[in-house]
Amino acid sequence: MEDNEKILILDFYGQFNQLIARRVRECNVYSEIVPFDISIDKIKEIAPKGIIFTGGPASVYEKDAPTVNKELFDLGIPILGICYGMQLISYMLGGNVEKANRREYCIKSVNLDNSSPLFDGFENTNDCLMTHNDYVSRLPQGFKKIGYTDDCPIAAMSNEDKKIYGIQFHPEVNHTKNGIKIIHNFLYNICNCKGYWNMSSFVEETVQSLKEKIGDKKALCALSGGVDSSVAAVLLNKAIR
Amino acid sequence: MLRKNEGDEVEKVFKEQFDINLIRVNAKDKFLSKLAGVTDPERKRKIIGEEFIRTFEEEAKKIGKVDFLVQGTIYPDVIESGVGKGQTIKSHHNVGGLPDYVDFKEIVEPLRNLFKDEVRKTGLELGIPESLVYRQPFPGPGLAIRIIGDITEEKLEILKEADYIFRDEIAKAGLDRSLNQYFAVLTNLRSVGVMGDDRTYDYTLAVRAVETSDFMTANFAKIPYDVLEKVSTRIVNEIKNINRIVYDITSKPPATIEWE
Repeated sequence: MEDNEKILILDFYGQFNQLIARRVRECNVYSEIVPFDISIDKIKEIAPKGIIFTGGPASVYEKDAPTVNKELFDLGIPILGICYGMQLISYMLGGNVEKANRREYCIKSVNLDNSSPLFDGFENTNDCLMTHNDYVSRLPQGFKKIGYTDDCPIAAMSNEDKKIYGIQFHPEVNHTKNGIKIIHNFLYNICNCKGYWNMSSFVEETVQSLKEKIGDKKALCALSGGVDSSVAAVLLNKAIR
Repeated sequence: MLRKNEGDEVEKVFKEQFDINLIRVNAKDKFLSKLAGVTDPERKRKIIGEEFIRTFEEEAKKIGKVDFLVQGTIYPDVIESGVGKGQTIKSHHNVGGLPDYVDFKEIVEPLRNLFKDEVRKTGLELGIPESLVYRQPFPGPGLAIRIIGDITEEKLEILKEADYIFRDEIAKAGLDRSLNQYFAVLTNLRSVGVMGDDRTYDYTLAVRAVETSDFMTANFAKIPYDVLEKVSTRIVNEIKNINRIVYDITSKPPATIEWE
């Protein structure tokens, strides 16, 4: 694939993780979900265009809460933290995270700073799905507030120089209006993705790599007639007949 | 355990359109004999899973040594088998331990990085007919879990025909794209009816149709009464041994989409 454009999604056990990966791909950028404790060396080797931290059930201030190596913030790779991901960024970079008096689990009108590249093209407010107990109560140094609600003083934050962004709400679900546009903005305005991922290039590359791998050797495919095995069989057939 | 004509349709696509070297195995009798007298849904599922593997093994043995085993594992399977647990990804055998007995060197999973909707798009890209690419989800154990109680060849035939009529009428009414899953279930309940001047004592068939976007939750579909009426009239008239038809009006939760 052309210059191997890829987004890494660091998995903090959020319930919507697969949706995040799908939304990124719907924007024509290849994405992969990896464990949150993936090594820095591995990340350097993959050289992703951007990194997304997912949400998750933990609280950053708890013992044994999932975390990342701090070096990650100095690689120059753009980062978007969602929910727990935002709280983690704040916590690790010297901000503060606290338990909210009232937990939010609803669709909220969030006030957005649409001069931020993340919210480019948005109105001043947008309906977003909030679902959290903790919240960022103080920004880390170098960050500014780019979103808030009545109950959540910092619902979005950014450090444009370091290309690090955090949002408390979930852009990946349909409950968040135009949520995919936020992901699109991150990919194209912040990570400078070009959008190479589509199924016809996938078919071409896969057939090619199957050809190289299997050559004139023998392959057996169990076909049930279901969509998955049918597509696998046809791909294989294209490669080795 | 496939629906009416399904085996032929799949075979036709692969032989005629793609000219694939395909071996079709019809193991109906084997499955039926293993399932005889079994009523517990979980046991049915286990038996079918196991027979599937055994049958595949037998056929693979006839072919002899192969270098690669190709499987249709997709990305959600890969993720669920442990990517988030901070450990290396386990290889996921989507047919439950299948390759242990097959003589091969390596598993190839060309779709392991794709989501379901991407698999569908790839299918269309490859020229696989829409009817196959967009077919509704069908449980692995097939019609066996849509026959409540023990399974016999006779019941299987009744269900196949009834399910075919139901699907046919849904398609004629133009509802086949808006309903996400729709099928017939043969209950093991028999009740009294009257046909002509004769008293009958035959099976009750249930029909089910749901609308859902993610299959985690689903609502029963509000199919127009006249469509249901046509379905009912045709099935009772055209199929022996069914004298009563009910429509499942529960959503998921509390019910599941399938009955077993």
